[in-house]
Amino acid sequence: MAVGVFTGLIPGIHVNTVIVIVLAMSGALLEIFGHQALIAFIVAMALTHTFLDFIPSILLGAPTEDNVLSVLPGHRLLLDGRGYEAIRLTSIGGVGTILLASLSLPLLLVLIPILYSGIKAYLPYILMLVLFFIVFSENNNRKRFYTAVLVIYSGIFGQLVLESNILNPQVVLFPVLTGLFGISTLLFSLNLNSTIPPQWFEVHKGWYFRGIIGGTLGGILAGVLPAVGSSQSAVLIQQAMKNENDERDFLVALGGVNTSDSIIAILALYIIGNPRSGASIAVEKLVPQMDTGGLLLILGTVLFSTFFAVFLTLNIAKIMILQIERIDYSRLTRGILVFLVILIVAFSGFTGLVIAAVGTSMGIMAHASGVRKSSLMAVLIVPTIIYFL
Amino acid sequence: MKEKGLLSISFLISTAGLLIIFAMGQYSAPCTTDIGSLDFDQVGYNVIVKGEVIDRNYHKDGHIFLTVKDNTGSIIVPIFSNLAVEIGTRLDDCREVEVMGKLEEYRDNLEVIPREPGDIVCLR
Repeated sequence: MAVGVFTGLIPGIHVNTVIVIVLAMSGALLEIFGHQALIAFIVAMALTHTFLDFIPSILLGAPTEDNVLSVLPGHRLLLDGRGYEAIRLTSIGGVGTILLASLSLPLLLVLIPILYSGIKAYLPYILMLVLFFIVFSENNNRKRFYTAVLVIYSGIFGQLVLESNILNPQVVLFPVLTGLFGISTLLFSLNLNSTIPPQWFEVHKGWYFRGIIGGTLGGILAGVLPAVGSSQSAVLIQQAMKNENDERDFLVALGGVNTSDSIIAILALYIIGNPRSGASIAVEKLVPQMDTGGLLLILGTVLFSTFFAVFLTLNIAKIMILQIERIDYSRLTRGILVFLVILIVAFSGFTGLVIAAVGTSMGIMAHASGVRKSSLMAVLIVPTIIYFL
Repeated sequence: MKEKGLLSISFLISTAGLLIIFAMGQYSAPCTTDIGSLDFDQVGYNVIVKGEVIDRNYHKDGHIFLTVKDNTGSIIVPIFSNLAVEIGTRLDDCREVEVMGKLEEYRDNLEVIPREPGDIVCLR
């Protein structure tokens, strides 16, 4: 779990990076700790990461592929004095979906194979409909035009960058998404001279059933289908939650998608025999034949880790928010921007910087034209559509 | 900065950026690689391999698994069922192929996975 805290809090560090190291040392580690301990380590780390990684996304504007859509509603709540609430909502989603998925496990054992074989053929058309809906749901023709331009531009951007050899595929998403959603949001905040108001730790009470159910369904979709990640699922959920009051439900759903995706991807190993994430690939290498005992071990680890992951997330968030409040936000924003640029150069070199710059300019286009930034999700959706066609 | 000016500048930069990235992509297009020189660090990259078809395995779900060998090594080329249908019988008697695809890892082995019929060319 400690490793999951580290990977979650540091932008650009992913659990897959640690998993590669674990697998490289698996021979020695298996002798010392055994299969069960290693599986528990991987599962706990992957789960904890999904809770903690919303903290840099919401507080620092540094998203990952899995939580990229949290930046805007999270940032809005932060500028409203409710940054803690935003993070808490994502944790509610994570806990809610874990509980719902655990209770409905017998149903999932039947549903997942059907989903896997049934929906795959229709997925590109569903995603195309989503893109059309993103464009035509804007409330005037000027915004529809700009949204269409951004969908086309970000779709071409995604296809060019993700399907070429321009950059190491292991690191390419970091500059893409940081540019589109992170740096552009921070630059625009600087332009508007945003300041972080005093933050409240009192929260709006609610059950957020819609968010939890949406998050669970989205996580199943992302966890089972190839080339569909939490972000693509989140876009589908977002279209179902259009009202202002739904922003909280959306953050819950996003937290849920992120967490349930990581677990469903491992369960998919048992149910359909195919791994769907770095963590599940690692589990498959450690235990080539997943049986009921392995499944129960994973479920037990998930339920046990969830409690501690939530506790850590909320307390670390409080500490970080108290620190952020004391700092001049524009200075903090500049510092974060420099930090993100350093990370991009460190992980992906000058090419990554060029990619991030292009992504940033598209993100700024979205801000300047006043359209929803979810249009930029075409960067992942278009390559997914092309993959399935 | 006024929104309209910001919009125009960001539009121009985005357009220029896409053209630059396109040019960079063309420059880094894959070229034919020795199979023996492929390693796990290249997973995710597009590669081109050329060699003799030494084995052909037909899966019950319609997938075809070719083993392609050159003088440096051999590699599996899985042709999944939807692509196999499009290719038809074109590769049935093919003894030498050139394959462009994404280098992937599956169960500790490297594979080159083609995506379109044009990614596999029968040379002989």
